[in-house]
Amino acid sequence: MPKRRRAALLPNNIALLQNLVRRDPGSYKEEFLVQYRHYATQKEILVTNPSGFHDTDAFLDQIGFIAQVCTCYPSDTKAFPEDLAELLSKHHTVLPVELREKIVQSLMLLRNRGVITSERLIQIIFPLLTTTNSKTFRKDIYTTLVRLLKHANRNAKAPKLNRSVQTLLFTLLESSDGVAAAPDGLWAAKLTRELWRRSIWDDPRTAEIMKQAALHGNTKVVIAGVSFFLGVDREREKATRKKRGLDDDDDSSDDSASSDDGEGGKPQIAGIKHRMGINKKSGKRARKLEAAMRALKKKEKGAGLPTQLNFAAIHLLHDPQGFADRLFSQTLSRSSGNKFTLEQRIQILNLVSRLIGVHKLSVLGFYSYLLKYLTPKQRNVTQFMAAAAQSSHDLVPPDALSPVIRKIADEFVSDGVAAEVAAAGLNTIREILTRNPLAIEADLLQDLTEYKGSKSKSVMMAARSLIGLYRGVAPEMLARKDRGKIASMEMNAAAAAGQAKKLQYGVENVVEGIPGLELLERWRKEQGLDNDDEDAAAKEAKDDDDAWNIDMSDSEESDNGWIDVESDKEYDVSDDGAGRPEDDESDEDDDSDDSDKEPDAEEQLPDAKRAKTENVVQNLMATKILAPADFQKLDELRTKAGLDKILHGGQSAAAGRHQDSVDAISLLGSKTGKADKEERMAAVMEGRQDRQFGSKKGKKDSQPHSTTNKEKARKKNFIMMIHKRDVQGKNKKSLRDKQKSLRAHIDKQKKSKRKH
Amino acid sequence: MGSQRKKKEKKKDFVKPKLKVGKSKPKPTSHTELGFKAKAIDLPEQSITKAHTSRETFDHYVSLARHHSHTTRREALTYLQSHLPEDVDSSLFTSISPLILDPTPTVRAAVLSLVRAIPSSSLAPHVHLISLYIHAGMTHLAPEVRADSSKFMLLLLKAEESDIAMQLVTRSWEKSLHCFGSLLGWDLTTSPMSGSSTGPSAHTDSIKWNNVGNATSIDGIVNAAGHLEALSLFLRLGLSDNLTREMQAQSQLPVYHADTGKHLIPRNTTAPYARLGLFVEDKSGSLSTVWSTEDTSARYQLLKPMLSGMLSGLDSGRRRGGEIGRTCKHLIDFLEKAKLEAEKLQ
Repeated sequence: MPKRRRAALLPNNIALLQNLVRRDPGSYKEEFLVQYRHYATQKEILVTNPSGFHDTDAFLDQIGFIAQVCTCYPSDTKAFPEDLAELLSKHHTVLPVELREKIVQSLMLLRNRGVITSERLIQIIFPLLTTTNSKTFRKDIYTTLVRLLKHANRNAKAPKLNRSVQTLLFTLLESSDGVAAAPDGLWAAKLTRELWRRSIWDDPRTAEIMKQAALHGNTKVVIAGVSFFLGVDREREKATRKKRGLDDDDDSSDDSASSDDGEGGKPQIAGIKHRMGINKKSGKRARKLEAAMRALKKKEKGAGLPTQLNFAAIHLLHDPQGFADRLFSQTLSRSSGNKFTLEQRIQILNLVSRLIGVHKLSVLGFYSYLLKYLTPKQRNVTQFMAAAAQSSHDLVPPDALSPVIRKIADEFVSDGVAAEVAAAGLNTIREILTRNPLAIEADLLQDLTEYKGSKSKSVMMAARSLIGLYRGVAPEMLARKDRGKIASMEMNAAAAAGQAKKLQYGVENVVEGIPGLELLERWRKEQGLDNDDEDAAAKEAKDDDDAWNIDMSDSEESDNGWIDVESDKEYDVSDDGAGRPEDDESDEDDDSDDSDKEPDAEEQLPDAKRAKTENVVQNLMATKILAPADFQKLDELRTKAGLDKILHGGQSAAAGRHQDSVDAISLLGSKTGKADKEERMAAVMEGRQDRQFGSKKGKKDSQPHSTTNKEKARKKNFIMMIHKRDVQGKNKKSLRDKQKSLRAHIDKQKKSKRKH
Repeated sequence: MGSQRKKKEKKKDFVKPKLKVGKSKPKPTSHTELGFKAKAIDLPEQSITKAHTSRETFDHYVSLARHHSHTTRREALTYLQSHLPEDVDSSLFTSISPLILDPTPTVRAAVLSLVRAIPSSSLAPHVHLISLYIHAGMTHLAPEVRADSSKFMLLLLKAEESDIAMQLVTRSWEKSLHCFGSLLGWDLTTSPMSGSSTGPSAHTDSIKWNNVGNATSIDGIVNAAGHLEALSLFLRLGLSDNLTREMQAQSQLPVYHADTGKHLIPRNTTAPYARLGLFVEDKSGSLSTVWSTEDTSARYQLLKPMLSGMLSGLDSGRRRGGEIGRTCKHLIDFLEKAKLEAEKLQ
């Protein structure tokens, strides 16, 4: 019975057959095989004359059908994927567009069904990316590849696939090296960049691929690689932030008003606050502000969260020294000729300088290379100056850096140059010296600081910032009058103690002790908390217990990082802490460093008292463990003593500076003084954009309108007017009044004449 | 006053022109004069209608064979048939052979008659192309197209030039047999030796005809007789060594050894080395022959796995009786004989 019913369903179109095969693969095997054979003959026809193939639609259906159902007959359709691959690879240039697309789609389908592996699919379609001459097809393949990798890495990373694709890209880059036009390499770089941007790939191997690209023989590929290292992290961050912003919107629709535009949170809150000040106060408005504040806080928290493995590509490099050396020698040195334009060279220069700065490399040729470009006449000189600043760090030999500083000082900071030039030069020198204070001699420094009296504000400020820098780092290099009160008192104290500090090359700045600890100690004494007796230990433990569990919820810093520690475990830790006297000794060696940071507190103290304080501090460090509450108190005390300001300047701030990038525009200094005519006009024109000017009367006259009262009065019959007071009065006017009105009339006439 | 004048001028634009009896309506200001005066009209050729050569019209009709309207296609084909030139070139074949798969029956009939009209000597070089489309037709989804496909096959097999049939037999032996199998609804893939196929449906070998191919009985197949005739002719040509005249002539050549014929240049004159596959790009493994099908024994080896399915199909056809039954019986007898001969050879 069921047989007959099936006979009624004899398929005569392919969609029906597909449906039937799906439901009952066994019974419809014959039909499928007939169709498969039909496909085979069609393919043969296609292969005999690929460009003149007419029956495309039917063939499309056939391919789609077989791709859909081939999982039902795996043994019969074993050759199908390879057939498609061969068709595509051999005839993709002449195949009809829709057929080409269908084949790619079918291959994708086969991969989804697990008939072919992702690796195989990539092997099939990747070569087409570079060989096809159709733009749309290329785009298709590119998106297919990206989607494929995204899909594979969706739930968990697919290391095997990633590695194989990365190897493929790597070999593509390697093999295309030295070829004049290297589309392979370019596409490899583009794909890698896209995958990095989407955070699909974030491992060192990706960075290695791009490193290979940056060292490629082809200019375009090199620039792709270089710009990857320079900008792509920012790009990725933006992408993830955007995504997160969208997620926020999904989560809570109530605060979407403030979070819908990426960085617009703050101004909006400012706007709401402003409106609160002006408008009538109501509960609703207050709630609105509260909600906005909450949203902002949430967003800030989110921004601070580390994204999943957000290592900058530069940090993931295996051999940064080798990379920087090769990049410099291959692309920038004279032997490579002028393969690159100035903009490209600046980009590469920027990357090399970032590499040197971030990893503290030594590429000594780089500084002498820069010398050539450091003249005010050089195009884009600020970029070169920024590169010079970025490439300096405290491990560069001063001998290598000082010529750069000398050159900048000679070329930029002299009497004959414009104020902006001098300011840029001084700012650059300051940036370099922040990173490596030893790179300048005292004489030159003192020459430069003379510009503090410059009439130009930007120059003056730049010179002052230089002075401020050296007050913290090495006041002895400054002229006596520039040192300032605090620094010179400190110097005197150090000299009296016989420990005159001197900057030394290669000595790293080590942190000893906790700044401002003696304040805490003193405070404890005042409060009567500090008793070293053993029998008070129990009480102290109780105190400490409270101290560990302070409520931090109201403080700005979130307490994510804190783990509650049991009170009994605390004693174990304190045993470890007791073994710290070595630290104390080293402390005594370089305590000038220490005192450098806390001069404000110590300046009033005589030497003997000071030594005592140090002892007390060390005592405290050796015997006590500071609880969060103590740190909170310490913060408070420090703020009260005004220490924070000093702490944030000077050397401690310079410690991490070598990793920062330098903004070329910031080197020019703040724009001060009067705006010139052009700028003023620009501002004026901007304000005028949608306003209309000219007299109202002129506009009115130009348009058709009814007769005005004035016109009517003028045209009125004289006889009707003669006895009116207006006219009669004219005769009765005094001579003075007549004179007045005549004068007014004449003036008016003259004015109107002047207008025309 | 000047402004008065201006006002008047402005007003003039909006005054409605008065229509007068007996006078034509005044032209609007935006009217553009389209007439022109010319002293002479130059004609580069005397006749405006271009006289086409017969060759050009023929090419035009060749292109019309792909027209979207089926009546135009049919008319084009009839024109081509009536105006066939002495030497037919390949463009005709590339454009008409896809019409073997045409959905319209009249067009297919027109193609058939056109192919019949083409002299077989000029047909011979294009047999491969046509056979590709015939195979596509034999496996086509539409039953009418399938029904007509064997007519073309028969036409080629019966062609005067024996080379045509030989090409079919030698170049696409296995494939054609498979296509015949699907045409007649026989399962030729599952030989009893190779075991059952994948899939849950288990076939019993004894009553294949009804069981296989989802109840396509011979009554349900349109033009079954034609299919059977074509198949029997195909098999006879393939399994007997010297059936055609030329072969008989060749066999009368002085024979030095029993196997001399095997080592001579292949008899296939139009494409003697086609079996080497030098210019064929497609080498898909499943359907093409693995070894040469130049000689009878090789062809028999290929037929052997399909034989049981074919015989059972023929057997059930024989039981139907009538014209079909007779053909089936003859074919069974022939196959049995061929089987015996082949076994004797081994």
